[in-house]
Amino acid sequence: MAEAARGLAARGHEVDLLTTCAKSHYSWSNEFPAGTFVDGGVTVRRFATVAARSRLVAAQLEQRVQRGEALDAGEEVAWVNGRFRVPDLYLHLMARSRELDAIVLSPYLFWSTIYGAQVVPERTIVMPCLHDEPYAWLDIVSSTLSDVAGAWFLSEPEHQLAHRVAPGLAPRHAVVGAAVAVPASYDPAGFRSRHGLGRPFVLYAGRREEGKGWRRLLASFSAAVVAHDLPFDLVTCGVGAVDVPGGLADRVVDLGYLEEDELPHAFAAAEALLQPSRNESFSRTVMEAWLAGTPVIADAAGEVVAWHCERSGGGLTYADELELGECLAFVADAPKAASALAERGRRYVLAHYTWETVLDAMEASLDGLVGGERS
Amino acid sequence: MRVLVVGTVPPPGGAPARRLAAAAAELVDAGHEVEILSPDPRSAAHAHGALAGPMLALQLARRARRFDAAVVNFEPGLPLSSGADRATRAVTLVALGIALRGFGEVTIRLPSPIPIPGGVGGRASRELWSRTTGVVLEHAEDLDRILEAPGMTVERVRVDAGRPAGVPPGEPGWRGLTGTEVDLRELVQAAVRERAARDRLVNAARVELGARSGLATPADPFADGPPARAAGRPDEIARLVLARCRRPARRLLSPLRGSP
Repeated sequence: MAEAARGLAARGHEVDLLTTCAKSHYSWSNEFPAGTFVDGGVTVRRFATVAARSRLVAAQLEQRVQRGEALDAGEEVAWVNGRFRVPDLYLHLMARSRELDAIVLSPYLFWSTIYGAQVVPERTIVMPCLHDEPYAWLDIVSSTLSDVAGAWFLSEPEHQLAHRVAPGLAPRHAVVGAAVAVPASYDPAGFRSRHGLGRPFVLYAGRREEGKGWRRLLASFSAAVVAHDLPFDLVTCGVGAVDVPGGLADRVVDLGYLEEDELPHAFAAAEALLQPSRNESFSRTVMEAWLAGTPVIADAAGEVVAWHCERSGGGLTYADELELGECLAFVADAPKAASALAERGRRYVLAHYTWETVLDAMEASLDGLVGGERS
Repeated sequence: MRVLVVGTVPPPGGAPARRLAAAAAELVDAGHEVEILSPDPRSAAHAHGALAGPMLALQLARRARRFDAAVVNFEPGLPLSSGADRATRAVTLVALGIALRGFGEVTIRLPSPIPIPGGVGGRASRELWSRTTGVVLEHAEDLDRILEAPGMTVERVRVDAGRPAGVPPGEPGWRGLTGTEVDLRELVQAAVRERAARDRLVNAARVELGARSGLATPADPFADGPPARAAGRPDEIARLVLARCRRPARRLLSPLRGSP
């Protein structure tokens, strides 16, 4: 969102970016100071979060949502309020709403979006980053996606899911995609040297948590390594506890959090990127790997990533650890063909997901919204 | 080697016919001399003939001297139709078993569901399966069923889900890829699925053998310590299969050995 805001500002739009003072999406505690500053031509306004009154009630509701239990309207509202609230942001929107041609809110499941969408729904676009998960099926999400003026989706599968989640989906919706910056150069040898990586490796870049398929990936990778005698280590970077089982300790390397300017080199140095997450609305890492000329191997149950792999002709998918093993054996046995696959992925990213393409789509949608309202 | 392939090949086509043609083409690529005998007079086979019921055995017997190996693709009506009665089934399978004695190697290809009314087992099929050196299944799910056949052993069975046109033959399926193929992803993905299906079959056999023999199950990555040795390595499987074959033989021979 921040990059899109900067991109739109660079194209001459006056853009305010409203956000919270939180750094962690686990705690939502206020770590940044509240206030206003300018960054890349965008006015950034940070607002303090307010914690829920009763964490116990919030936790109980969360468990019920996760179990797929139906909540009544009051409970859904309590669930939304149970994580964090940003009343100052809401009040700011209320006060400034007349000056704004459009409000873009993202992602779908937070208080800031659900409540912010109610300020001026006729000028609001929601960029939901929707996954097929229990939260998505709450009535409050359906009504939010239906009552606003428009929606921006990152991929066609997400668009289709939105129609299932919200049968009355806002009519002005579009698949705008997401943009990936194209690095000027890559330094795979330097990356290996800086991090002491002497053996070929496959990469997982992302949060190491259950919802992202990390544990499932460890189990599958272990089975694949044993079955095929693969030469690869599994290198991972990101946040979250790695918790490598004893049997895999010498095959998994955790680099922790990598700075943004170091990450492209990690993609370029890897033999393949593994994407075990089934809950992706876009998957930026997949695009970044393809840009770096690295093939992608993804869990077939991840609808969006599987769609990218098929549409681009640049990625492989696996249904279980046996297929993952075969995919990895392919990368090990046929590096030339694997590079050719990645090249198709790179062409796909450059054709669909550069900033120029995505900002064009966003501007077209905004023009339609503003023009439609004026006419 | 001179190989007789029996079954329906294109034209007019259809997936099963294309699969058999692809299998025959692989044999040719491997340097074998192949002749195809098809029941469909429209097909591009070398010879056509009536192959229903005991006629299949007759056709095979007539050609046995000219060939070293036979590949028989079971199909609906070749040799048995779904409505075949018990007597026809028995006569057909017994005759087929006898006819196949004339070939050094015999491969039976079985689509899914297996088109043998009444199942693969029974006394009538004993000779057939004892003559068979290899069985090719279309689906791994039929493994349990074919292992019910008298004397059938898992190492004689493999799965061939069909190789899409363009995937180079041989092992592994993608080594011949140049990276310039138009449908590269589809080819690799199909090869991944095919090879994983075979792996699944092998693993099922390993688990079965592991359970029977008390060997360790495959490594649990979340157990402490290094991965345990994987159960059912090929040499272990072979040893177990041999051991299982020897035991009944010893039992049969022991009274004779014990007698003065």
